[in-house]
Amino acid sequence: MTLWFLEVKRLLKTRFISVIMLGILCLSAWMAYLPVSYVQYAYQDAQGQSVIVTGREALQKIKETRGDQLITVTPEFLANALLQYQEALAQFGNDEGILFDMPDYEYSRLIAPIRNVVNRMREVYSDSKSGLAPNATALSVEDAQNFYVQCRLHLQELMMMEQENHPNARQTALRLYQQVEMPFLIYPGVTTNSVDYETLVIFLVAFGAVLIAATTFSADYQSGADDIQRCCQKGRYTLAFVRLSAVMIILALLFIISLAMHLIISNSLFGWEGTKMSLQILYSAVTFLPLNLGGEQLLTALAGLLSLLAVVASTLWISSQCKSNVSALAVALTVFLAPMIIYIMSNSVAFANWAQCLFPAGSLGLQNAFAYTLWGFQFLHLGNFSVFVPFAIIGIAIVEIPLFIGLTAHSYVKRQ
Amino acid sequence: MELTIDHLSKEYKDKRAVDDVSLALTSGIWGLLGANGAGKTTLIRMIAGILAPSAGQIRYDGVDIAHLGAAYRDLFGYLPQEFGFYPEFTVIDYLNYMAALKGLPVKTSKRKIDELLESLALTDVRKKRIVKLSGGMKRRGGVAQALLNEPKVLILDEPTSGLDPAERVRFRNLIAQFAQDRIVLISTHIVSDVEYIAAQNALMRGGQLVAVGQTQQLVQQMAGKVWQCVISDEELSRWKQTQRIANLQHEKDHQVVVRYLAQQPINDHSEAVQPRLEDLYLWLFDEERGGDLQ
Repeated sequence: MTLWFLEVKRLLKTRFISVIMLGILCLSAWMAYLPVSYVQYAYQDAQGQSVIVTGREALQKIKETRGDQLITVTPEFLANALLQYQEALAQFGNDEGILFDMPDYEYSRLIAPIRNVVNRMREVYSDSKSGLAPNATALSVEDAQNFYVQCRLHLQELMMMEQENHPNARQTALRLYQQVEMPFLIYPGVTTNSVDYETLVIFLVAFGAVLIAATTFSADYQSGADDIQRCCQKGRYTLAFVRLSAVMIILALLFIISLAMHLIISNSLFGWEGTKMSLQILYSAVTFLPLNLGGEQLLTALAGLLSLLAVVASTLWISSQCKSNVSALAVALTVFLAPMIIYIMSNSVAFANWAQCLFPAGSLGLQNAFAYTLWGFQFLHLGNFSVFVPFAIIGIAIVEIPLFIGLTAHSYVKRQ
Repeated sequence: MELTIDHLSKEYKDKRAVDDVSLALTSGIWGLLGANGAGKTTLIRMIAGILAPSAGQIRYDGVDIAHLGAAYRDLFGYLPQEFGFYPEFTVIDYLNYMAALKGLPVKTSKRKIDELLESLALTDVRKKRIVKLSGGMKRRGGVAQALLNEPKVLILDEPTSGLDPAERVRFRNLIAQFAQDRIVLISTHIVSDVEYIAAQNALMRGGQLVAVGQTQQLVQQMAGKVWQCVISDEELSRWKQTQRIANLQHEKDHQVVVRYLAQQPINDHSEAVQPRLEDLYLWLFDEERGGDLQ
């Protein structure tokens, strides 16, 4: 243990590492505030002028006017929302259901509170063949009353389109959707921006972790320190595991602290009740995972941690193979960024899915982030076996962590 | 206690760096002499277990060091030619880290570190970052780490590079003091580093051992081959081209005292002088550079 503590102390005293860690912690906190800064609210002042406020002040106004509590999206709520939307359209919109010439304060008062639920209604009543959503004017109060029944029907149709040849995948989706709590819950002020920024923080920590881990072994090869170390009694497997575990634990703690700080700040600003908001209202009414926003945050953090550890372990393996810091950094960053590029450039959904799951950093990108797979409908298929992509990402990361740890230790010990 | 190097070879793609070397190292100080590129460092890295031989074996008291593993490393100390360290470490941080890596208990390591800091005159700089130390002090730090576990086998590769004359003398004395009942192998191309302290020497050239033996025996091989005479400045330029000159000393009136190596004296006024290890080194390695000049 003495060696382990000394190794941790050495790593933390390294200026390059401490600067990166401090930078990540500061950025994580700052990025928790950014989604709040984008919130806007408009109101009419005493002189009848439209006033737009942003950030915390906007959130405060939203909570004052819409209430600071969860709202249950009952069929009655949906019907009223639909009528309110249609009235606004009649006053400020056109026949195609597009609002224009609407004062900002009217938008904040009439549309913003119900925009999400009306969009979810349009989504589930979209054409089963073309996928086109109807105008809000085409929906009726009866449609609102049947919303939750239609949600299940729409998921069936969608899964038939997405997974036509994979009945297992369709069954999994429907089985999971049965566990989704209905009616849905919404919370005023919460936006998808907070989810995007959680994803960004995970990417940032992982990027910093790659920079830190990439030189772990190569730096000693380059400086010659390795020659002395591997001649010591504990200079082989013991040192390899001490170094691996020290780097991985430090980076795991950095991830946990950064994410915890980010989520605590973000949820405190938006309101903790917001974590109970249904994921189905934020993204898609037929998101079949039975999760609320808080559950999504935790699952994304857990998957992020596992992927981070897989990335760190694979980066350490690269480091153990490279003679110099420059080559270790170049290879590690290429391997880290490659899945993001492959995902963006790939024309095949199946190939992109496999790349997202198999690369340690496959789900740590921006477009290919784990969180976005949660409300997707993608499965990995191997013969008759189908597994939902986010579950595959977690499972493969759990396998990759010990695999790369073993490869790193072996590569370090056998190096000449 | 014996470290046996048995028909050891190391081949790379296009080069045989060490070629069928056999040597039995017993306790005492050994000098491993050879020009740069002679294969000394490759041989040492194999003895240290950092490099696997292409052929042959190294045994410690009859047991292959590859089988001894951690037990061999436990009695081994090593200072490589390029001694890397962490720039953020102070001297004491570094020695604590190395002591832990060598598996020393905390109490023992504290005592041992204090002793070494004292004997290597590093106590005053114990809390100074290594990167801020002079070349000599850094080297002493390297020696300290090699001695931490009181190794039975100590290998020092070019240990005096970067040291000033006073530090070289101090280093030699320290090693001489330490070497009792241990195998100490000092690899160098600076003959004076080992001439006075090594009981035995091995000379390497082109990956092979070309001479092994006690220092006095090796030096005696040069008896009758080392000469000294006085020549003029004009003659000197011709001699430089044709003779193997070991030393020059300019005198008054454009005269030069020349110490040279040859099977026979070049002129009548040459006199035989007492050979030194350096003469043997020059005799063997000048052949490689300039061919047989006799």
